[in-house]
Amino acid sequence: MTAVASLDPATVTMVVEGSVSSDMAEQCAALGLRVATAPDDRAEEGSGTCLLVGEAAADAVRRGLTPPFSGFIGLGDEGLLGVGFRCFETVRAGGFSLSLLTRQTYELNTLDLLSEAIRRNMGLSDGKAADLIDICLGEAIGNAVIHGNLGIPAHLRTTSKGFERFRHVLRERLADPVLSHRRVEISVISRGPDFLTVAVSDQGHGFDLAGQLNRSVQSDAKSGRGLGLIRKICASVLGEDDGRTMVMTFAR
Amino acid sequence: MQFKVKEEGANVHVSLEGQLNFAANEDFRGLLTQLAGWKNKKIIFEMSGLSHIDSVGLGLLYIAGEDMAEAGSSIMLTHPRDNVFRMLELTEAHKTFEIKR
Repeated sequence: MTAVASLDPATVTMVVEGSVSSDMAEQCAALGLRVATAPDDRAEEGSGTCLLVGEAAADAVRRGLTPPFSGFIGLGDEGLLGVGFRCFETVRAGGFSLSLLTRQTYELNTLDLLSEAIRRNMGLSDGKAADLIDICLGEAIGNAVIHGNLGIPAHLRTTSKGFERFRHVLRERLADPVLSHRRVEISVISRGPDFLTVAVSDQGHGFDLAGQLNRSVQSDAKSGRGLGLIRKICASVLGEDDGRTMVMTFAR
Repeated sequence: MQFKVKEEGANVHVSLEGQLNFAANEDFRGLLTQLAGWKNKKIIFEMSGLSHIDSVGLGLLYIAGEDMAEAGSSIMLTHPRDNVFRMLELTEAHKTFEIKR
């Protein structure tokens, strides 16, 4: 594919590792995305953004989360099917996004990869603010995988017997082709110089996020603390799409 | 998460490495199995190698704590990194565990 000298800044180019199937070319065309097979094929600086698309190995994800790329999309058996519009909207607006299948999110050190990218891409230094973002992001990713996409209730994991049952159900559901192909998506964008917004989405059945955020948590609770922590730390937290997306805003 | 277990007199030292989070289940089960053999010990979790802990990981420590208490043992958490300590503070883990920085 030939480089294009100037593009609309809103153009998103999908840089695909390996070959581009006709299916993927069609999916990209339907979504209004350019396709390229190497970063050199991307437009000149200042004209559009690039997402890296490929097999979700740690190195590839790290590369996608590092400029010149604005994010990474893990390929599943069905190409880009199920990738949320928020990913594209976020990169068009200057942020970065990660879209992985459930199994990929579970098996990679997803939090480490994102935490590294947030510090680098958003100019956040190590310290309390960055640690608190990591804590919330870790909770939100865990919830998206376990409760959202895999639909496993939290109450299972409260005794060692329950933990055995939890492990069994988790193994079963991670092997389920439908559940494990649901996506977890994380989009990060600056809100002016003082705030940062991180949205975490799953593709499960949704839940009453607002109601859950209002619950209080015991200090020795073995489950159900994640949302309490998020509420305590974030400058604001909102649910969208019937609780499938949690939008967390942090002071930097 | 990886772990190493070493017995020293009345103490059992458990060094944790990596992330104690929602994906650490299988490794943590291995640890619980190893710890089940001890009675009336002080189990010291060395946390300096732990890069992150989430509420699921913390829940696993609470489960371990209950199992250990039944065997007459107690748990102490030592040397957490700043970010892990912040999580322990935020969740008031000191009400349940002895924590040494």
